Amino acid sequence: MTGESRDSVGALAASVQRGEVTAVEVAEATLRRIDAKDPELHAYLTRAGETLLEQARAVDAKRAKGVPLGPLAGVPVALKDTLSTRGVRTTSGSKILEHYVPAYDAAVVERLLAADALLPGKTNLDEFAMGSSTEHGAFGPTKNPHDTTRSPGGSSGGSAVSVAAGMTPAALGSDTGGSIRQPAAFTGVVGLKPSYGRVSRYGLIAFASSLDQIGPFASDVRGAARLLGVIAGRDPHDATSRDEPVPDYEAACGESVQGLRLGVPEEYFGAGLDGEVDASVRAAISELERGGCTVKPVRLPHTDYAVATYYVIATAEASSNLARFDGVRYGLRVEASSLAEMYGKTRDQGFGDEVKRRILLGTFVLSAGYYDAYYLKAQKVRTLIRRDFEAAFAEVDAIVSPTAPTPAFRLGEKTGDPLAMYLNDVYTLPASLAGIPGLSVPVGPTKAGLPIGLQILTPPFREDLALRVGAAVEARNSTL
Amino acid sequence: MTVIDRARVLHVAKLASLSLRDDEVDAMARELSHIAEYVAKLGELDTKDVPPTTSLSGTQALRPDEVEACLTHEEALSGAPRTAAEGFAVPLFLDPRGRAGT
Repeated sequence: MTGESRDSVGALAASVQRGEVTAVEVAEATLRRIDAKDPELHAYLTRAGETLLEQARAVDAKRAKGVPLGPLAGVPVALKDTLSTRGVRTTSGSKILEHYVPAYDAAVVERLLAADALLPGKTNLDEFAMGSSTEHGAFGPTKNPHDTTRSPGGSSGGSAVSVAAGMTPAALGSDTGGSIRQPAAFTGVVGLKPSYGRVSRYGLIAFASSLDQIGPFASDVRGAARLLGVIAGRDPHDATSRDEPVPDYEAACGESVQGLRLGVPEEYFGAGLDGEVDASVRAAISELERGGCTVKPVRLPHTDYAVATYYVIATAEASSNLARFDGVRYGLRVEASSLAEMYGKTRDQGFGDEVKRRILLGTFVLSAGYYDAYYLKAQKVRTLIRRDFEAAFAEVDAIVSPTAPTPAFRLGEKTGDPLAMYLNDVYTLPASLAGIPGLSVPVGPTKAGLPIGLQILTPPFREDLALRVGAAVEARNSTL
Repeated sequence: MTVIDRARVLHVAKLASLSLRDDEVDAMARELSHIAEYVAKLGELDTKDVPPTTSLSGTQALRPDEVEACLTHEEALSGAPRTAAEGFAVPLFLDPRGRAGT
């Protein structure tokens, strides 16, 4: 192990723990890889230099003193730029936060550092995580390493590309309606959105608080499992984080899938599904069946209403969360003679078009005369969508589907049509609304070499089951 | 349901403290109407007896009410675009006779 190759999370941590490679060597190699690859791909908004080397030196010093190293010893983990990092610029992809330097670390950042991880930089995203293509950021698009004319998906596109291009073996993203799973599918890596409440959001720049969840990307399923084990668990600073036990997720990856009942929802295989995605996902499901799983159809009858439900609830919450960006306490300020004018000008110049569109839509659905017809209605339909999953999980252990209806689309292909962009998230939004975990694992590729993702959904706090099925799919991939 | 026209965009923008440029108002009216028409499909569903999902958190115990370390005064002000008298500085919003300004 030299730190130069595409080592997995587990292999790299083991070689740092054994002293076969130092954390400083890994850090330097990581910066070289980012310098070599990122000018073309633009996965990073901020590349750490000295702070990364300080982290690495601390890990090496700990080992020299004979202190046992943590589970992510010397593992570089890229961070989506929605995660607050003390002393390191955090933009959320927005001009309004272009020069913002947080005074504290997000809870997940503290946990990664406590596990002896290295943090090489902050990755690109759609502004405030609002988008599905990493084209809506203020600082330019990220490109898909499998075809640089295509989007890596979004909004956590930079984190996905950091892993897909081998710049880091792992990364963290955030997923509000598919923002980890869809870019994982588009770039051919593993991505996991944990259950709502599984991971503390303290220090995550909020988009939609009843949906946002932080989760890992990794080059393999076990890597994602190890990261989840580090970041999961109750945090008193996030009242929505749950005090559920954190199982050994990596051990779950080694368990047999024999006898597991898998549900296949017909609503996720309908019109709009690309033929190659369909074939590839069905082939993977057949392999799981040959591996001892029972496969049966399930119904999720309100799937067709998920996009509309999501875009009411998420925009309503965003309009409220983004009220904090007012030019007073941090971020951009456009001076004006009155307070109201200062607010208005700051927000007009600081926010991009997609963010403004969502703030306006969210304010509209919450406004007098429209609240019941839009917002309250969407909250009721959200209940129906949750009940769909509860009924399905009474019959099966996990649900398997495509992660996205198509492989990666071209850069610019959907930016002119917001609704077409939203509809691309049709298979990932329902799990976000229901608060259940969703794992995307690669199953492709297409004839043109584009990755395809299989999505595995399980009941709340059963990430272990999703990882177990994901590891079985991965094992099948490696034998092909 | 309602199509979002120019006047509605301007009203909502005011509620959201966004001052839009004139060309932005027309584009937003068009795009938001398109999205609102799509969202209106929720009206197809009978939800008369369905309770709304307002939270997925369930009942959570609050943390103990104990004083713990927090940001220092300097740290809290460190990102402010403008400070004065150890606080956040904003444009005048009360006129000298004490009435609320704009």
